[in-house]
Amino acid sequence: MKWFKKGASEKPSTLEEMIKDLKQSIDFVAYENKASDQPYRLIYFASLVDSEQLHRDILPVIKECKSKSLEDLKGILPIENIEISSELSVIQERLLEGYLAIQLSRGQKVLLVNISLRKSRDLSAPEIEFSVMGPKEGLVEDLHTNMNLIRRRIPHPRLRMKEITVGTISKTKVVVAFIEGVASEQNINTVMQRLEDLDFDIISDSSFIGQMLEDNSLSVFPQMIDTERTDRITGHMNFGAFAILTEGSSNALIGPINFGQLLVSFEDYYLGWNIASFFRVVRMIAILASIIATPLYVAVLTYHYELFPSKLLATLISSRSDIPFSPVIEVFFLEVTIDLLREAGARMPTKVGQTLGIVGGIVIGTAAVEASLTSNILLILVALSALASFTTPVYRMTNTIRFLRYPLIVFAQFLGLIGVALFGLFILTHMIRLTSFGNPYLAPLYPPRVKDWYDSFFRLPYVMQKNRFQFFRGKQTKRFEDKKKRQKHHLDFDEQ
Amino acid sequence: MKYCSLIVLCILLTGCVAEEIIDEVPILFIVGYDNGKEGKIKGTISLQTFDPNQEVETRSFEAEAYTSKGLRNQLSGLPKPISIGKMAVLLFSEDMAEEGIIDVLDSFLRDPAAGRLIYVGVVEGSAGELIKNEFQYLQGIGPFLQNLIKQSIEYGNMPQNNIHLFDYKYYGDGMDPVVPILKKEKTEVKITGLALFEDEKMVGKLNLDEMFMFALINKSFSAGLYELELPDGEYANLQKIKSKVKYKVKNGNTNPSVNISIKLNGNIVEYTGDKLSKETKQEIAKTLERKVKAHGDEMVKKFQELGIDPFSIGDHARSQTRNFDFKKWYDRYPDVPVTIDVKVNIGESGIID
Repeated sequence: MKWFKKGASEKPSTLEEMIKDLKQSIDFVAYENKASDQPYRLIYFASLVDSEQLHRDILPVIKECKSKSLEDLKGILPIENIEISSELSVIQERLLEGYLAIQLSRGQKVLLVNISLRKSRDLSAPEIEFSVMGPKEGLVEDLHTNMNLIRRRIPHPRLRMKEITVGTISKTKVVVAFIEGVASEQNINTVMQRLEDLDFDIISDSSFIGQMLEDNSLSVFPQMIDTERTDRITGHMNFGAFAILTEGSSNALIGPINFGQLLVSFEDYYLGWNIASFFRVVRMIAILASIIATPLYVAVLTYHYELFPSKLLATLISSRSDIPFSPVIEVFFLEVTIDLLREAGARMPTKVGQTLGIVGGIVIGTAAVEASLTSNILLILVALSALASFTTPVYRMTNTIRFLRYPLIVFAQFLGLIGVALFGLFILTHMIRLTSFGNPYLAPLYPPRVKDWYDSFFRLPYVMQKNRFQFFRGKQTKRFEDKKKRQKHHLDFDEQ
Repeated sequence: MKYCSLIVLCILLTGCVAEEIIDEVPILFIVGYDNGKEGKIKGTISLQTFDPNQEVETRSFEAEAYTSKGLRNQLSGLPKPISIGKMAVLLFSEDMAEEGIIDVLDSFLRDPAAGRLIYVGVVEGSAGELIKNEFQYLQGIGPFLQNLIKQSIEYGNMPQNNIHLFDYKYYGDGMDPVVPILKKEKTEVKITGLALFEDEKMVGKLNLDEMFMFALINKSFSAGLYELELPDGEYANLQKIKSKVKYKVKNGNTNPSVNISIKLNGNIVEYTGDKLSKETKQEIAKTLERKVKAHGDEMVKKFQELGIDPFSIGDHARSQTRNFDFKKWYDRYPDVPVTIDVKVNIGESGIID
């Protein structure tokens, strides 16, 4: 960033110099009107201001205005965001935000009017985190809209939103939203401090911030949840988490989290507790199976054929009997193929992507078996584990799962089941050590927080979710009052 | 540094584990041992090869050596390494069983690659001939025999046995192992009874009928079907016979006497007579009681004469006597009075009653 700092050091010292400097861009306008009885000058970035508003609301007022001071003009203009300044840095900053500077007399003093143009796409349903039930409302790239979406869902005076600007070039506005009292002060202080310490030039997306705020940036496990669902954001804020909204990003970051929350789809809360619990268990099994299925295949076929039941041996051996590769090559070949398909599908336009899925799934799969490059049992395993990896509700977690199996396959090839166990231990130790904003990553499990288990591997009915999670250590510990206490003040029709 | 050392370990440790890729190792399910020439052991194995069309082809190989592991080197028609991880059945010819088999079993018991549920069997005639015979069993002779013995234990009338029980009863005091006897016939393999061992040597056998009685008396057991001949010439078929057995040994060290009380529960599923009345049921129960007692007495006598203890009476005596003295027990065992009490209870005789 040296070049930038060097440029910044040659600061213009007067308004005229600044205008001359900025004039080098074609979208900068410094229009001087000397013809009217009241000469004035308009300075703005044409690409940033709403020209309609300029012509409709401002130009007529200036023309009709007989007074000669900026203060009078400030009183007449039908716009709320107006200030008068003569400070060069403020003027430049405001101009870059889409303000219009009006100069009446020669001098530094200008009237700054906010007529910035806001263009954002319409609200749309979340595309990545789809759910069958529940609200279909996703964040958009506009920070203001996003804040509005959240505030509307939590119309509570204690909902705080703190703004901070990060990025030396992009000057991205970042908002940290949380519910005071529910979120722990310590967590908020941590995240605010980390945001303040951020030093980077351009923040293109919230994921930039997500990666820079993580406790352990070497870890493959996401330590914050990226989400575009407003219900998820507000739900987590109600648990005691904070959300980080970023200008220009349709994803919010939620933190602190624990590992279990990565496996929770917010739709779980819309289904019945028993059904949701069942799906959570299914998802956990799916994730485990997805990681270890193919490494186990490698380990067992290479070292521990005894583990197969005799009846399965015949099917397995005959399916592998004319394959020229060792199991590990076979597995790598298919796994890489699946990941290629996934990667190509993600880059392709939707319609091409569908064709690609068919070509990849059916043609490559069956052709590989027919050409005896892979056994059909492995094909089933790989397809199943790919399917299982996409059951995770958080996209970054899906990638983690897809990534983790490759080192595991290598370990399985080198040391067999012992290698699988070793790698499992390695991951477990890593996860135990991992923290999210200082909070233990494997929290309700280790350190054991038995009181938090009501909504972890399974979900109990809402009546039993009386207490807030201990994990977030907020001041407020109750979610609602006890039913019995409420009944004291309650008069039923029958009792009269 | 941590990662570096892990990678280095991965590379360095690879030499330590031998790969056994599933379709490249010959997988054995069965071995048959016969007496070879000049005191050698003759081993016969049957190997399955699997086609892509899921067809199984079996081939047998034989070799002679002085030790069972030495056979592996002599099997020169086989790709190495020969692995015994899926070994299911060990067969010994009667001749060899009479000379002792513990040397061979020991090598299997010591091998960590060998499973724990290997069945041991004695073959009437040559074990090698039985294995070499192409019986047209779809899954091959090894898995078939494994299934045969397993099913006879689970649903049939055979007492529990496998290589570990053999080992336990071989080393344990006051007990002796038993193993099933198999016989090759023209088109199939049959279980013909139970071989009785004195330690590692086979000394006698029981036929199928006795094997059933043995299973009932030996231990609490639930058996399959039993056909009972009644004194009036009719036949009754009993199903789901469950026995509850209690051994009581009195004065184990001084003047031992043994009582075996057996409670039997069974259902009548078939009866050749006219009607299954209450009296006939009682008749059936009484007949079975008499039969079990007679067979039991006869078997105990036989065991005492042979000086073997497949019922583990000695072990029961040890568990019920303080400071039990095995030396005295062995001397007294042939003359210990053993009484058997049998009580039969007929549970159901069908849904129409």
